[in-house]
Amino acid sequence: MEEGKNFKALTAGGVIPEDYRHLTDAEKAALETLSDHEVNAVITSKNKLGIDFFRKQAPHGFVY
Amino acid sequence: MTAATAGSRVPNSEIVRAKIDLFGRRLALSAYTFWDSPDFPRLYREHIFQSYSIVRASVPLMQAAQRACGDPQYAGEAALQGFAQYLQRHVPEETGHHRWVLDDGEAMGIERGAILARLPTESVAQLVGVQYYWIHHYNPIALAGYIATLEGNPPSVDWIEQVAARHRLPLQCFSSLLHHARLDLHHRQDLDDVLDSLPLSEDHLALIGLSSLHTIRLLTEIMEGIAGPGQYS
Repeated sequence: MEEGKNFKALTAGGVIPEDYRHLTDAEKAALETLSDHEVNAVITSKNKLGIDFFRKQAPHGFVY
Repeated sequence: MTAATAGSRVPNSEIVRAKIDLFGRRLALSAYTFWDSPDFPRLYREHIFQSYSIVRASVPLMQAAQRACGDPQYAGEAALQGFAQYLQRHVPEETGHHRWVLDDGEAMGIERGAILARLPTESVAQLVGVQYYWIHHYNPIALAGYIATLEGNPPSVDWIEQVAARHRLPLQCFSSLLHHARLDLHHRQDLDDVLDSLPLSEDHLALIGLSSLHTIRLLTEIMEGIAGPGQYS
């Protein structure tokens, strides 16, 4: 699947590493649903996607 | 994957959950460090305090959002009227949950009064406070993102039992988590069904997404304050 506008913006903003190949097509499609405000929020909050964060995942346990 | 494409509409809940899954990974990494820490009993006491600080606002937030949905400016908005009906159902379902967290604090040796008297952190104030801002000054539909993020991925009963056994703590210390392990999967499905039934616009979904991202960011800050950022190995 060709990378979309948001994927490129998130890569340029340092969220997605350059040449990252571990996102599925469904995840790439989900990224393209983000509005401009959401993309900006992800970038300015220094969020990161990357294989380092894919290992060792657990639920946060904060209750509602 | 757009909110409404003729003949191939992606459910609203899938859009909401996909964003949470994508951008919740740093939080999940810090959480892994928390549950696995050799210093777990000390960290868990802090987690209980932070959790209480969050959960004490759950019902008031929903009540505020439900009242806001009743504002005349939203009278013709089917999405907000549907969300208000969901909130009306969900408020009694969540009422009293803060007491379970206090029970867990007592089981871990923390007096209830000490939890109640302690000043909540700025991170929690920001986590909850922004929801009040959006509810009162923009659009109460934002709260759906907060709820989806908090209720969406509860630790399972098996997970909690393993944590308790690993750290040699009685299950009595985890009553709140055990309750939510049983309840939150139903609550998640209920919210997903509501999200899929509501005529949410792209602007609604963008605000719900922003609310989820903000919730994740502040929960990450809170969790990293407890357990640190996590190791990548």
